[in-house]
Amino acid sequence: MKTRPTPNKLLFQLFFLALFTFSIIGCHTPNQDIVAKIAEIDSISIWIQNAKNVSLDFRNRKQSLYKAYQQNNFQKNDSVKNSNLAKIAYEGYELKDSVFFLKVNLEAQKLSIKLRDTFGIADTHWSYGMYYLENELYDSAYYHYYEAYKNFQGINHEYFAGKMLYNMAIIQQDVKDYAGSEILIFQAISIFKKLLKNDDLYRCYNLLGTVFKHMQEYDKAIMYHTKALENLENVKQKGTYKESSLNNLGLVYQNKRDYKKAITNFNKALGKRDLKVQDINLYSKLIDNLAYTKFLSGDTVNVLQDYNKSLLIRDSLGYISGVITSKLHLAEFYAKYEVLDKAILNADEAHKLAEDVNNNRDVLASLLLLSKLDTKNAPSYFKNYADLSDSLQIVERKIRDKFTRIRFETDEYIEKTEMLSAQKMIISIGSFVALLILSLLYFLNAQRTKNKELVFEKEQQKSNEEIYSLMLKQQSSLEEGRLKERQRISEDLHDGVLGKIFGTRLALGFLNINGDDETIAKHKLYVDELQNIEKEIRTISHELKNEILSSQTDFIKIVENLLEAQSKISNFKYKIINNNAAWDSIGNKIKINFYRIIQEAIQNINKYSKAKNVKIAFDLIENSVCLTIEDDGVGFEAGSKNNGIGLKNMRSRVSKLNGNFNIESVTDKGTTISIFVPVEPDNYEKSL
Amino acid sequence: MKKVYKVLLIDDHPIILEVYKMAIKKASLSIENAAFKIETAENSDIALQKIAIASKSDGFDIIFLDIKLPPSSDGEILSGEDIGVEINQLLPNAKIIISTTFNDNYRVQNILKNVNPDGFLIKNDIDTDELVEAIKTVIFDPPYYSKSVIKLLRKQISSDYLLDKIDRQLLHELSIGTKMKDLPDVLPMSIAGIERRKRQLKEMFNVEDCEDRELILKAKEMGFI
Repeated sequence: MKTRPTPNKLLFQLFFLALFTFSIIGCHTPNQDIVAKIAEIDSISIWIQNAKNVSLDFRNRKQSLYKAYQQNNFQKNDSVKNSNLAKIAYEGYELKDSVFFLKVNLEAQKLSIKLRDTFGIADTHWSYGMYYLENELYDSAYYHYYEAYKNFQGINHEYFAGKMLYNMAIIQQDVKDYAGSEILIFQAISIFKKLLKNDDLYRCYNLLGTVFKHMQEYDKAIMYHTKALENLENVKQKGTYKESSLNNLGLVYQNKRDYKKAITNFNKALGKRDLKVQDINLYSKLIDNLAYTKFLSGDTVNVLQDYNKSLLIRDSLGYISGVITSKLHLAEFYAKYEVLDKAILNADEAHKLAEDVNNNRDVLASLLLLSKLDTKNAPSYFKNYADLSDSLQIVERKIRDKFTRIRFETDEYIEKTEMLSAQKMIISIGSFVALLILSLLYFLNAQRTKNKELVFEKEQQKSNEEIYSLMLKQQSSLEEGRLKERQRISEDLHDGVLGKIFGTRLALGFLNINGDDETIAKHKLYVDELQNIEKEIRTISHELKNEILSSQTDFIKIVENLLEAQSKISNFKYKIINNNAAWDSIGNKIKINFYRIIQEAIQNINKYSKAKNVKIAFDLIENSVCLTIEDDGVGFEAGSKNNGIGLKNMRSRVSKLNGNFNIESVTDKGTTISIFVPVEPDNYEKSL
Repeated sequence: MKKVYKVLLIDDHPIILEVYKMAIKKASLSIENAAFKIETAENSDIALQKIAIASKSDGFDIIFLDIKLPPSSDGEILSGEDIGVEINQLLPNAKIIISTTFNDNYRVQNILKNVNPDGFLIKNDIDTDELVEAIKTVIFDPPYYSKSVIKLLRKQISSDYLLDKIDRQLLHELSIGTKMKDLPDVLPMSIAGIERRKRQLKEMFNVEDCEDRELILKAKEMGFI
């Protein structure tokens, strides 16, 4: 006997009302669109409203729903479309159009997933749960309710999560997993208590009472039913809740064989006026239950009459489960008074009906009864009973196992997720640490490389200067060798050759030439010519010596060599002016750095300036050597980065020599670099 | 009574020795009652030997001395100049005729100062007639300086500069390209002293703040080197 007093339908209507309000509030759109949108929404909601309208006939409502669906397909706003889909799906469920419902609900779910709308996902699962429960596919229903529960939980929607727990508890009760059901109900109760949801609390306590009745813990069942009734005081829309609770309470007492109290409760419920109008089903149930209790207590007054009254009502309502119960009760009644044929007839009818509607519990009850009544066929009935009972138990156990598995898998999933997230945490911490270490290592390495670079640079500088020193030395020894060679040639010419020619000439002069005047004159001419040759040789010899003087100082020579080589690169003309700079007395340090500065400047000139003429001048002004490098190139803007490093190098060189560095550049006119470096007064100091 | 002139010819070129002989012969033709007794030396060793021997007898009247001579075997004598000094000591009455191809002022001046010869011939200045004339002048009315020498002396006398020996030596060394660092080896001075002297020279020649080159060119122009 179904004793669930609160159809889910009401719940869902409430829920969808909420959802509807949500969607209306939720669809704030820019002003310009708002009118059109509202119109669109309105047309859809009107169609949905029509589908809901109970006063319209069934076909009309379905048509409206299809129209709403079609209209919704044109909806561009996905979230509005989604909420409408959910509503339409629900109406499809209400109108028992399972094909339409499944299609629309699937669509709604897919869209929700696409939109990452967790509420929408939970909502569609809820609808599935309802649908499968309706079709008694308990495991599917349980699965969907559980999914809905998880999703609601995920977005902290505790109220709906609680409702899902309640729905799951109902299913577990249905498959006789009372302990599991009890746990879920208590979870739901703790949520509803917190949220002060009295009607939900009422339903929970009521279900709890029923569960304990099934577990044959009647005292607890009575306690919870009483609690449900107490809770009902705070519920505004009571409906027939009280009567249904009284009915339940009566049944508990009936099971407890406390018939007096059972009858009191049934009568109390029947005492409500208009009950027959408000819930004729409950009314018929109450009459039947009252009659059965009376029958059990041994009071037969009006029992048969009441049975038949109830049966009549139930039959007229097409409430088959009720009809079966009535018939079973009748069979029992007739059996007691030995009207076996009537008893068997009723039991058989009940059995057939139960089989028709696939109500296993009633089939079992009817089989058991038949096996008692029909002594002839008793063994076969009993065998059927036993078989069915066994198979049912197996099925129920399987379903219970499945529930456990669904929950377990989820637990496992959660555990796995937790483990994964812990792993993730470890990995991310690890990678962070690794990254830190790596970057530290990189930094250290970079630092070390930098240091090495600095050291290397220093060494390079040093070796550069050494090279330059060597260059100077080589240049000077080369020059020296050249000079020596010249001197040697000069001296050879002067001392050797000249002497010999002189000797020869005079010897010729002293010769007594015999001959005519002409011959004597010619002789004299040749001798004179020899003297001229001597003079020439002497001049050559002197010039060779003078080369020593005309040869430039070593440093200037080196600078000249540099410019000669460099000027070929960009074809500029150069001029080196050495005004009064006494290079002999200037230290190598200055020369080296001057050389490098010139090198750098010439490089810049070659690279950027496009200069045609370059002038390098050395001056000695007071005690400073002054180097001026002038070009007529394109110049550059002060502070531009291109010349940065070169200029920096020059500056640093000059500052190393405690000198002054100055650069002037005029665009398209040229650049002038002037450097003043004090000559280290070493030599002068010593000499004074 | 014929006067016999003892003559020593010192030159490493045999042909020049021949020339001297011819010149003397020619000169003797125009000198009455003169006879020439000629000895020759082709290197400083022989020359020194002959001088040493002569110093113990009646010496030489005239000595032709070449400046450019190979050094003596003991290395004491580097040039004719040194032999000239030696002759002045050993044979103070001998008349020395320097005959050289050198015509750089510094050397000429040094020779004039150290040897004080009665004849100073720059080989390329003279021809046969001049040579004969020189011999005669030295015998009867010394000195005889050939044209280049006279020019030099004139230049010196007309200039205001007063340079001592070391100044000249310094200028000379610089002119032949001797390095500053090597100068203390040839001059009896420290580097600092040399520097100071050089600066003084530059001031004197009005070439302060210039390189040595300017100084040398100036000195040359003035006839000091």
